[in-house]
Amino acid sequence: MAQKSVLILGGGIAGIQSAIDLANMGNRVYLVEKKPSIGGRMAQLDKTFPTNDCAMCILAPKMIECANHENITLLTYSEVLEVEGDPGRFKVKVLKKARYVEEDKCVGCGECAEKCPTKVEDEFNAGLGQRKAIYKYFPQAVPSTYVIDPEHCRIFKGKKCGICQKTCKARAINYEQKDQELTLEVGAVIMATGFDLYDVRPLTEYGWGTIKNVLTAMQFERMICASGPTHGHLKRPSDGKEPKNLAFIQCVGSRDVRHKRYCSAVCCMHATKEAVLAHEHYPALSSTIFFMDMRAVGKGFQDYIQRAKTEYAVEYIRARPGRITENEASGNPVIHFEDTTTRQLMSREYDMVILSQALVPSESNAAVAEKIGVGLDDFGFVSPSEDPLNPFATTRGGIVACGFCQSPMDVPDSVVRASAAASKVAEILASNGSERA
Amino acid sequence: METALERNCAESPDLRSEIRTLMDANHLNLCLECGKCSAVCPMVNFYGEYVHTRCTRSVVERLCFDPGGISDEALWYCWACKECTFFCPSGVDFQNFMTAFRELMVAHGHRDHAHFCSVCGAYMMPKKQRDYLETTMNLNGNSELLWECPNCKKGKYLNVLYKLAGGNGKSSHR
Amino acid sequence: MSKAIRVGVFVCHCGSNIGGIVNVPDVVEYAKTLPWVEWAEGNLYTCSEDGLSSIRNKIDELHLNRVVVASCTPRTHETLFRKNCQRAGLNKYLFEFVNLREHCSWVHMGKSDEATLKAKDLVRMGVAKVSLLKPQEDLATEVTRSTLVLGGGVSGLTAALALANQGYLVEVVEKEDELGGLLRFVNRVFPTHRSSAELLNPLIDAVLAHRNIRVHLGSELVEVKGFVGNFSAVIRENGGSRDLNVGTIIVAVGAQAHKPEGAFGYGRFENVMTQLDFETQCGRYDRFKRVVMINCVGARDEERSYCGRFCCIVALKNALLVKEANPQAEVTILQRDVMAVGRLYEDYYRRALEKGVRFVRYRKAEPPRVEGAGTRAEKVRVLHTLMGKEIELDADLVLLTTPLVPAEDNAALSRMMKIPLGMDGFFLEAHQKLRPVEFPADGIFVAGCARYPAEITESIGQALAAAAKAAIPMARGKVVSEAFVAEVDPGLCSACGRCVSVCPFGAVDWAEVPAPDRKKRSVARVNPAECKGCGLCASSCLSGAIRLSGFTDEQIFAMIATQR
Repeated sequence: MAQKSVLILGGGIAGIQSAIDLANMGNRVYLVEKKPSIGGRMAQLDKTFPTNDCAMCILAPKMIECANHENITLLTYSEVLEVEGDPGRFKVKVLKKARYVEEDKCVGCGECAEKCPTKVEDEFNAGLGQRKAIYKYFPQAVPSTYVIDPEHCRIFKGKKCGICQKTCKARAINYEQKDQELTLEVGAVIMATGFDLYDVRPLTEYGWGTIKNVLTAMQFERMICASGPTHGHLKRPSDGKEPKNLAFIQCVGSRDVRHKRYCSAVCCMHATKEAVLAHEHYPALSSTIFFMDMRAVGKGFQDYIQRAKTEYAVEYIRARPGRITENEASGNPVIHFEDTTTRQLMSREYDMVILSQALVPSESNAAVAEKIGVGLDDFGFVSPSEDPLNPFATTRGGIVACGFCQSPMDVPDSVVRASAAASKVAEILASNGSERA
Repeated sequence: METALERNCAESPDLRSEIRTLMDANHLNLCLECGKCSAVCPMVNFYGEYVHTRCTRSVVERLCFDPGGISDEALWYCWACKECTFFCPSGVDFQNFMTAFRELMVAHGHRDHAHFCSVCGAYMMPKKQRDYLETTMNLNGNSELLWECPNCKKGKYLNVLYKLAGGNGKSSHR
Repeated sequence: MSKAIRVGVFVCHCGSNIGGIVNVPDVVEYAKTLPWVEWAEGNLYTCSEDGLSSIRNKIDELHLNRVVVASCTPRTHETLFRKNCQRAGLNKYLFEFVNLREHCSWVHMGKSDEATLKAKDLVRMGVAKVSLLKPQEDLATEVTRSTLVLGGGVSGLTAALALANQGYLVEVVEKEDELGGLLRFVNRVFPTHRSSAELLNPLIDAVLAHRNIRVHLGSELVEVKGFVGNFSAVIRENGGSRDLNVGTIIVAVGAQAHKPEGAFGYGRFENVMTQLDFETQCGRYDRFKRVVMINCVGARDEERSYCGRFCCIVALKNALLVKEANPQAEVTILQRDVMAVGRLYEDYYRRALEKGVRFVRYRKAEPPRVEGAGTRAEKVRVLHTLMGKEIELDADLVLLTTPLVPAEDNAALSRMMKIPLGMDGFFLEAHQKLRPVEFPADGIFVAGCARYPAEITESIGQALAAAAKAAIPMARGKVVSEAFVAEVDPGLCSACGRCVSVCPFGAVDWAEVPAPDRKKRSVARVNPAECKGCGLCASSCLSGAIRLSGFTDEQIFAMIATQR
């Protein structure tokens, strides 16, 4: 008899969706997420195209549903160690890392973080802000339990502190907490490990990291997001001034043999969205998007682009810029490009430039795949299935994959595939372990 | 007005297929016309103006549709500095192509725009490039830098070295 | 009820969505002054774990028996907050949602003072209403464990098989005389170039052989009644009709190929055809020397604004097949953007470039011109936008790349099943981001090209997703529907029939009740399981006989009365 339980690796929108579907069907679900909170990349977005829904507003109910569902066990700040056995009867080992904060005591009030003396670069805010050594991954984190970062916390570096423990009224801080190893029995596994952002520093021609007012798209998302480090205000990193014009450069690291050969699928749309949002925040602001092909293929996407052009002051220039230099006096980046349609060589100054960085399979994906015996392709995506009728199969029976870890895709596609993976798993469990085409 | 290249191609069909072979070997067919090459090309700085028909992207585009459509000028502008090849996101090796293409043209008798070594007669660089370097470096035609090819220069230095080392002063180089 | 009303009011900042325009602390202080309010507080995000536990704690601590949350939209968050009340032991229908975002902050940006005043009005109304709410229970109905799948193409067949493998019974209804849908006419599939039969035949065989699946060929849906868990459908089959009882329905009726009559010589020149025509007719790929393809024919234009999603890839496929069969062939694709999205298709595009397929960008405003003599096209002229000059291409074959267009029956099906169509003519899903294979009406799902052009992998994904969604109520065995439904008072009903015709869900029907003179008379009756609580019937009733729970006249008048 197959275990009527499932292990899902990855707590982004894909992992969350398949967890909810499988739990609603009556199966027990273990949702493992390496970060201290579920939510994934969607939690970092401000709004989502093409409806311009607030990302957190549509994600939070699903996160809460996961947390409250009687059939779902959330294992956050956790990693999978191994998967042994056969489909229908897997034995899984999961490492639950110590938060040094007791989950059942912490109410998420945040007073510890207020008093903590150590500041650390904030990963969730794409390096734009700072968090403390004791922190909540983001304001709407699920679970809302705080976590101590042992790499930066003074106590773990042998220095004197203990302020958070003294401050905590719920007495939730426990520096002695240990990692826990859990053994679970599941019938199937879903891989939904998502993506990371490509480091665009090597593309020195664009100057990210040296020219202050050149940002990545994720940094821009965090900036324009109301719950981000600038509370939704656009502020140039060099002088804090409000930009009057923006430039977006597409395919930075994507569609490039020197970096990533493939297309990251969502950048054409997210750049348009960001330009639209910027105009909504600042009606006098206009944007230019430098692109190669405007890949707006989904439902409603073409209309979205049209509206961006006619209502939101977005200009599209078909060109791949050669270089970005800096006007040292003003701090304005200057883009040097050949406008391929007018065949003119031009240089244009902008207040701020946003690079649509390539999106790559999660860095931890390679290690996870190796641990669980799933084959990856040379980019690190899950190897495409051999069976055209089952696009979610991996090289190991009983393990299916969905979402960005298979191939670049947007939220609606990830959600569809997450439910599809749930369906496949339901078949595996019903058939007592043997997968069907 | 017919370009020299058009005339050549009309006269010898082999030339067209040789050009095609060079294009395939250097992956010109992978060009997505993004314009990054033209944007990083330093030609504009040297010649003070941008003429689209001479720029990298234009040459590639025209070659794909009609090898004869390249102007005489366009062949001899490129400095083969390799910036375009370095940055091309599709993997087009324009610099290598241009170098080989010129050799092909010289072999077919296109010598007017090319500058050759005054000692051995080998092709050195486009005349435009020599003129530009001459004026900016204030050389006034006397420097061996511009009039002797690297091979000949090397031969000269080797002879000097042999002499210093106590040999009979003539290297077998060249 | 003699127990005192004790209301808790929770006002959300929603980050800065509300708090940036409405003075939330001010509203909180105001709420404290309202009758029955025992507690009022502001939250940064009431929907977060912190906010929800705060509500539960206060219900517990202060014995609250009514909760008002003034935040965003009930459309996304009502269920969340109701369940939260339930968790704290409070009947979930003793909760009222006040929308301070869509109804206040978002529509009055830049008018902080007025917005705050309005927010106070809204909260006052919410408190007045919540005091009149009564505890209620949801309604549970049994679910039939079978599914009706409309359409026997790759989507329908995949969904059918997925459900059948889980033990559910499936009825597949296909209007043609054979299964397979559009894929029957496709020769090879991208990017493997294997024949479509290799993919389709095993699928069809598996469906026909499965003991849980019944296939109805040459059949069409004629009528559907009922609601999730209990649909009764009538299909026309073999000249007769048949009744089917199912629990869920999956709409997988696909799309149809576009015939661009008159465009680019289509219909006039025999060697101008669509990509699909080419696949169906042409057999051998090595017969052609000069192939010109024109992309975006009938897509991304005035007539049809959408992008066909995968037609670029179809063009690449046929270009590669021609080139591989005859390397000397000159193949040129005239395009406006190459939509080779993602990992697989970008490499496929590169493969075409490596094989020597040429691409010419043309502008929408200056389309290519196909010229010919008699019945054959001979040349294509196009302005090569990026080169800036017109080029002339010889052609012995001109292929037009067209998008899939909505199936003709969509409008009729939409009316029959009360499922919406989008502006583009395809079926419109419940929410584009988070509910892409569901309809607003529970129990009905959509997959494949019926929703929007989708290629094989996507169609299979959507079909499996729809199967997963359909499996949920069937696995549970019952559906629970909301208590806020309409009810007809037979004593007041004049049997005019307005409500019966106006209900978008077909939830109001006729029922016989005893009449005073021993006869029977017909009155309207609402089926609480089908009723969605939209209120159309209640507002159209001239006799005032219909009462909508949760929005009674008494409650609405109380809200209005607070405005003085």
